[in-house]
Amino acid sequence: MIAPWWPIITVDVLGSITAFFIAIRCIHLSWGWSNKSPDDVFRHYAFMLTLAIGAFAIFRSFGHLVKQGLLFAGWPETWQMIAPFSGAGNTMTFVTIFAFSIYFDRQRQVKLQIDQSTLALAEANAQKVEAQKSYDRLRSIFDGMEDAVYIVTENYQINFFNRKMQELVPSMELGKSCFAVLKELAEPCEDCNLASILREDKNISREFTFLSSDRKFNLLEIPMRWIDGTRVKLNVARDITFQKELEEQLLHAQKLESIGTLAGGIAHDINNALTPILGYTELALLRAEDNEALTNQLIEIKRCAKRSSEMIRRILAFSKRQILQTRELDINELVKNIAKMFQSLMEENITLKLYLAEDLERVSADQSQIEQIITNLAVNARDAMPEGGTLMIETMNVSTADSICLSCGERFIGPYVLIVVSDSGAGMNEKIKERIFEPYFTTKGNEKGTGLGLAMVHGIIHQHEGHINLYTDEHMGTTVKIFIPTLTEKLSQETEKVIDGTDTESNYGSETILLVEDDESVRKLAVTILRKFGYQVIEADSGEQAIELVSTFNNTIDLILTDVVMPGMNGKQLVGKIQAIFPKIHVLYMSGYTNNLIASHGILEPEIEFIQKPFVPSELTNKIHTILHSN
Amino acid sequence: MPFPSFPSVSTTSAQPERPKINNLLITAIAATVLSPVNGWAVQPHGGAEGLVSHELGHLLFMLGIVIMLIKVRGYGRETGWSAFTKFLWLAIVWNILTFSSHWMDTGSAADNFLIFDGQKTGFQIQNFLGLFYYLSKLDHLVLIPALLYLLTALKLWSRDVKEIS
Repeated sequence: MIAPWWPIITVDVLGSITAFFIAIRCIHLSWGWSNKSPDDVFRHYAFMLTLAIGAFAIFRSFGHLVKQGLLFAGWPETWQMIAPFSGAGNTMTFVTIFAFSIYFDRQRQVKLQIDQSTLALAEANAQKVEAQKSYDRLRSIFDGMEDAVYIVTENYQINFFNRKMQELVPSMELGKSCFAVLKELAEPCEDCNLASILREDKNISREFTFLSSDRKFNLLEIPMRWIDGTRVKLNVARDITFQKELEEQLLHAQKLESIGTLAGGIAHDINNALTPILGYTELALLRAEDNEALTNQLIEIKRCAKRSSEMIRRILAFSKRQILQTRELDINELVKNIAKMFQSLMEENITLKLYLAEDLERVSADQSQIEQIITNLAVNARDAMPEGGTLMIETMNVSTADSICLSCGERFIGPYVLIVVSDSGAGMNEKIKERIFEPYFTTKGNEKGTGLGLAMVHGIIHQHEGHINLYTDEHMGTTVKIFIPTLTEKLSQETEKVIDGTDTESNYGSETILLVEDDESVRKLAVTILRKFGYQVIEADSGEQAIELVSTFNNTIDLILTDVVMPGMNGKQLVGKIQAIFPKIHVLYMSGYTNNLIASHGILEPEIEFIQKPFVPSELTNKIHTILHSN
Repeated sequence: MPFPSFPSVSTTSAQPERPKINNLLITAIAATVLSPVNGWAVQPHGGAEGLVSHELGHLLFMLGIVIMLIKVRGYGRETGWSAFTKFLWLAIVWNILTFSSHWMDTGSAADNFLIFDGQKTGFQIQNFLGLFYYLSKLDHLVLIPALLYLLTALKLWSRDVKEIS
């Protein structure tokens, strides 16, 4: 069978042309793929392999086309000359392909290893970043703490500290010895417990002071294991200065509270005792008009009783347990009156200056108490300037944003009337200043001062819901600032009632009074006084007896005069029960100490009438007359 | 054709000495100039010798392809590798065809051509070997698909956004 040769030639020519272009396209594609990732060694290798295969296809196609061309042109001799070169060229490409093929897997492995290394490196980097993040996070937590934290190795070397610690001890440095940095010592502190803490593996908490700071710290020492396995001590120092100050203030407040409670109890009994002394002395004075010697003796008794009564009043005042009779007050008027009175009492070498705000707000306060305060401060100022100086009293409206009362530690905000009493006297040192509001603390000596003046001022101001700050330094004078809350609403007329008149003649009456008093001597005195002034008196020594008498005397009683603090039913409860039956009955409370039964923080409820024990006959009858004839 | 031999070198001294390099070089140059023979090594390789080296090239090509084929098996059916594997198989087939064709070029099959006016016009197929020889000359029918598979593999690799892992 004879097969035509032209199909062979046709396929050869067309195949060569096609292979030529496919090879070029392959090289181009491979080049592009390789360039997409220049660091990829396998892609680079694949390009080289493709280049070798492409070179083979191009070289061979070119050779075959030349061959077919030469044979077609009838130049077989020429082809015979070229043929060995063409063959050799093809052979060369075969060898090249073989050479590349040997490294095919090797390149692939290198690529995989590089990929794995890159991945491992990326993972390591990610871990490093994560570790750094964790460190930064923990560092932020430690640096955000208000506690100072540091870690000491068993060789006393500091190997960690936070921001707060750096602030406290600026010389803090890693690797330095703790005793050198914290105590500036050449060897470990004598009381160092590092070894014992690490040995016993126990936490210890103690008070500590850093050399560079005057603040007090609670140092918690915790044994722990460091990241390298070594034993270290973690120290957490918490600033407890403020807490300590608060504790001291609390202790002080508790002390004052105890004194106040004691004072309240004493005041009740002493006032009950003083009431008949004063009362009977007064009555005796009325009878002893002709006997001068007896009158003088009675006056002396009365003076002593009054002094004792005043002492009790002061104790009650500083312990914030006295009854305040508040009314709307113009502090400027009050200061002016005191200044007038005080001007005559002062030495000539003392200059009194007043700076009073024209538009000063009014306050709700007990006039006598405020007078007492200003007088007391003015007297103190005068005494602080034996060689003369300037006493200044200023008033002004202030609105505090966030002030602290240095005497009670409370923060206070709002509108206040500020009274400033300043002197250019000797001033006080820090030690005296710390105790200045303590009762019975005086710098004037026993003859001149009772030690109750500023304690009383402190008590009265705080009972008025005000605050007091004292600024002083040795040889720099003293300034006392008193803040009294401004009056936000006009007080009702009832609280403004002022007991006036001492005309005993007009105090006679014929009304029926139910007298309830557990103290027999006080009760007898009151009966004597009231009967002397014409009143009908029904006596009861307890609340229970009073209830029985009320039901017996049904609706004939005009006024109940009752003690407040009594065994069993107290005065408030008694009045409550009686007024439930007779709502319009008049009531007058009397007490040496009310224990807040009829007053809130010492301020009487508006409708309550009260007389403080001890009282003299005229005060009692005056008060009763006023109540009975007020409507 | 006698294999060219180097002139022998002998010495007259009783105790043989090792010839010096210079002496050997001079002797070689002299022999080349004074007694020239055919130097096959520096002539173009036609004929059987050229064919043998070419066939060895084919064998190396095929060996390389086989090596790659063995290694590629582990890559599974990842994008492009399937096409590349087909390229490798066809490259082997092509090598076998062309290797055989070249071998038979010098054999009796080559005597069965019909020549007209110095041009091959036909081939007389007398047996299966003759048929195989005739078909082996159509090797482009294998080579072109092989190259197309390579092109496909490269296209797939090039489009694939995923890195080779």
